[in-house]
Amino acid sequence: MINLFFLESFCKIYIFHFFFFSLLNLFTFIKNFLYNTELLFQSSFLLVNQLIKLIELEEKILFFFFKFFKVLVLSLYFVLIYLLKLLIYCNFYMILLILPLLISVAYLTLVERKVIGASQRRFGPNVVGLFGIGQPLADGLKLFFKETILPTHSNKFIFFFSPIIVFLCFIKLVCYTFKIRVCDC
Amino acid sequence: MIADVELGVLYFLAISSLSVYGIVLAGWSSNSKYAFLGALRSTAQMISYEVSIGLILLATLLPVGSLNLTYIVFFQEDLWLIFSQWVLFLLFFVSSLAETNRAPFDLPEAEAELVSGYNVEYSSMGFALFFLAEYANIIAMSVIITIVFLGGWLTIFSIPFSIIFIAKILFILILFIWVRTTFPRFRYDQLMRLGWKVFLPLSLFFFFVSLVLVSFSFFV
Repeated sequence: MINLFFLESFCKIYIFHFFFFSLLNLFTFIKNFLYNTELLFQSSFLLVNQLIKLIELEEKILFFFFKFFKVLVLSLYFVLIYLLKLLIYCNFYMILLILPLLISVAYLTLVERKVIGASQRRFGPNVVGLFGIGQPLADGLKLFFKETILPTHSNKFIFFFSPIIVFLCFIKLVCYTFKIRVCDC
Repeated sequence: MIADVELGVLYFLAISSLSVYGIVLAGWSSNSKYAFLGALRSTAQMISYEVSIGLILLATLLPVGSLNLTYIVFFQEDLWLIFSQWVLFLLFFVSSLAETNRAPFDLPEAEAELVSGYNVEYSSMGFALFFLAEYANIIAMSVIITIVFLGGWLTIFSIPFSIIFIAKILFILILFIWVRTTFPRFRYDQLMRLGWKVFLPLSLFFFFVSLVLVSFSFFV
C-alpha cells in the first residue's frame, strides 16, 4: 500500500500554479473591460481614462512586485506545502520511492543529452554547474515558472486533467517496478 | 508497506495500457489538428505494440511458471533468461522502443510533420508532467527488461545487489539512448507492418516453441 500524498501535493501545486497566473491576468481583463466601456460611453471619457491610468499604475506596481518576488513567493509556497505534508504523513517508503524517481527522471534527460552530444562529437550541456549538473534543475525551474496557457477552443476540464492522469499512471508503474525488494536486499 | 503482487507482470501491463487514455484525452481536448493526429498515432502505436509485448512476456515466462517478479528473478539464479531467450529479448527491446514512443519509432513526435505530437498545446507544468511521464515510462521499461531478462539483482563477482541492479538498468537506458542517436525515423506504414506482420507472428511462434519446450521439460 502506497500513500499517495506526494502525488497529491504535486497535483495541488499544479492547480495552484494555474490559479496564480489566472489572477495575474485579472488586471488585464479589467483593463480591456474598461476600454470597452469607454467605447460605449464616450461622454464619461475622462473618468474612464483616469480609471485606466490608475489601473495601469497598479499593474505596473504589481508587475514590479512579482518580477522580483515571484520566485521567492512561489518557492516559499512550494517548500511550506512539502514540509507540512512531510510532517503530517511521513511515509518513509513513499519518499524512498518517489523522490529518487523524480530525480532520476530529471537526470536521465541530462544523460541523454550528454550521450547524444558525445556521439555527435560535441559537449553536451556544460554551462549550468559542473559539467552541466544543474541543467535538469534549471529546465525544471523554467518549466515551473512559465505561464499555464489554456487554449480558447480546448475542452478545458479534460485539457487540465489529462497530464495528471498520464503522470499518475507512469509514476505508479515505476514505483511498482522499482519496489521489488529494494529495501529487503 | 511494500506489496509483492502475485500477478506482477499483469499489473505492469494493465497500468502501462491505462496511460493511453490520458494521451487520447490530451490530444482530443486541445482541439488542434497536430495534437489530435499525434494522439491518434501514439495510441495506435502503443496499442499495437502492447499486443506483441504481452505475447513476448508470456513466451519468456512460460518456463518460469509465475508472473511474480520476485519469483522470476529467483528463477534465473542458474541462467539468466537472456541467454536462453535472446531472440525474445531482441523482440522485446524493439517493441518497448515502440511502446515508449522513442526513436526510431518516435512518429507521434515527428517534428517535420506534426509539431510535437499530442502535447503541442501544453505549456508549463502540463508539459512537465507529460515529459516526466515519458521518461518514467522509459525507466519502467528498462527495469522490466532487467528483471525479466537480465536476472534483476542477481550478482556476479559478489558486487552489492543494489549497485548491480542499477548498473543493469543504466546499461539498458544507455542502449535506449544509443538507438536514438544512431537510427533514422521509420515511416508510419513500416512501423505498423513491423508491429502486426512481423512481431505478432514471431512472438506467437516463439510462444508455441517455448510451450513445446516446456512440455518436454527442456528448461528445468
